[in-house]
Amino acid sequence: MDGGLRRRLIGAGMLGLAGALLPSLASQAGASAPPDESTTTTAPPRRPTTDDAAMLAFGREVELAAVSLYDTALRGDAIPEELRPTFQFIRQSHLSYGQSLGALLGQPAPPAPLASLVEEYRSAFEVSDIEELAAAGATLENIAVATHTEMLGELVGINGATLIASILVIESRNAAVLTNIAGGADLDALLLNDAEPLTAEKG
Amino acid sequence: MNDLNNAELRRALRDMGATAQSDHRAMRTSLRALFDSDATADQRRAALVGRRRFLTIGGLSVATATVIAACGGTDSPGAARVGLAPTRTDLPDASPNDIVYLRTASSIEYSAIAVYDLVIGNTDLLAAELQDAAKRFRDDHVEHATIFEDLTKDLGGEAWTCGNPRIDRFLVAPVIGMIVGDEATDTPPSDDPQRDTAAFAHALENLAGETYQMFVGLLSEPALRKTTIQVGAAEVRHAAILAMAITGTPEGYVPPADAGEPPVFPVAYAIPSQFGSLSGQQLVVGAADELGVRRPISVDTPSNNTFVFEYMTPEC
Repeated sequence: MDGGLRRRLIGAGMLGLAGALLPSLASQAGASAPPDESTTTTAPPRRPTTDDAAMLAFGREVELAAVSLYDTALRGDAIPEELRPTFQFIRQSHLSYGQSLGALLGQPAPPAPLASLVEEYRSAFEVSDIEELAAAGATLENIAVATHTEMLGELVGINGATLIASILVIESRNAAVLTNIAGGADLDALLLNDAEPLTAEKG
Repeated sequence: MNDLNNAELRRALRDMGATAQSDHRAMRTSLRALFDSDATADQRRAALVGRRRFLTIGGLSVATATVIAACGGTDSPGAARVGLAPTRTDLPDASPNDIVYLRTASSIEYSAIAVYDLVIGNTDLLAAELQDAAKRFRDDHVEHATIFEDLTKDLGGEAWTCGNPRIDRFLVAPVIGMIVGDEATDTPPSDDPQRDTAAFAHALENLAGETYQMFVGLLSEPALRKTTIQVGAAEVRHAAILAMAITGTPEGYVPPADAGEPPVFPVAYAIPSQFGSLSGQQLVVGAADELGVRRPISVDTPSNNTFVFEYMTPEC
């Protein structure tokens, strides 16, 4: 048998094989085609952007100001023994928020607390009446919630946004508890937050 | 009843065996003629183009192609099978996106509204001192549902105006059954319906708050995250108020530094942790079983199986 004939026959066999496989291969090719391109979206970045970092650093200063104010309250005599764990818990939470924001930003040295916030509320945290103190605490927590909520409307990076969200929901609970301690039984007082958010400019 | 008797079956098997042996012999002859170095060119040509040999080779090619094709992908609705089976229905091609999250959010609001509608005005289920709060929380949920519906429509989606199908089926219905009793599942009513209803409302408010906190990490636009967490911040205040009512104050403000052994009924705290948790919660409701045991129910933040995808249609 000459080589040319053998090659033609093998070629014919391969052609038949390819013909039989064609529908199968075609269906597989169809399955691997990219999905409808209209469904693709651009995922937001995870790490904070430069603008995010400035906002988060400001948020950290607010948290450290809260620590400073609760320290003032805990040094005073307004807080009865049965409520000290609650105030210590809230104070420790704000410290954790400041530390977490610092870790996210990679800033090793603790910055100063937001001085304007400390100055504005120091006297309210030096009172000797627990209801007055709790009312001041509720106001501070509502300010923090409003500030972080506003921030979430601008943060681009997911890591910063999720951290702020996890802080904000607890500060909202803090506000309800402190309002309750302040004697607020009214649902509006417990639920509504009409505080103005702080901004880096307004301080 | 068998269509073939044993003798016919044996004959059929013998014929099949004979055919297979014959095919095997024919293929072996052809291969020997092709590759045996002593064979002449005419013998090789005859082995291939002889009528029987040609059919043998052609059959081999088709059989090989069939086997390979069978191993590849297919558009047929299922694997080869014997007997009757329902036709497989592929799941719709869907992935979560902003519209899905917002529809899921409004679905959670409607699930909560349905639970409050059930207990408002019924002091057997919800204590009188919690009725005003329940009415306020219900109205808040209606407002929140509207917010999420409007956002859904703004993004070009179809607003979801029903409860969450999975939460309603696997959480709300069983828990309500455990509180009021369910003859269909032989579930006795709770030994303390007021306790369990308050605990369930607290769990639902926590679930909503955790869900919206989670959505902050999933929504693509900062403006959507902001609105969603505003609602979440309101839901956790509902939960805090319920916790203070359930546990009392100051015990219900924060967890003690040394919690000790966990009690049978999880203690509701207004501030349960330093950071908002996404790990879900345990709910204990209903009567104890015959051994005195109460089984906890996990109330977890939604996952893909709880999202309200765009292909889903409301049934309420």
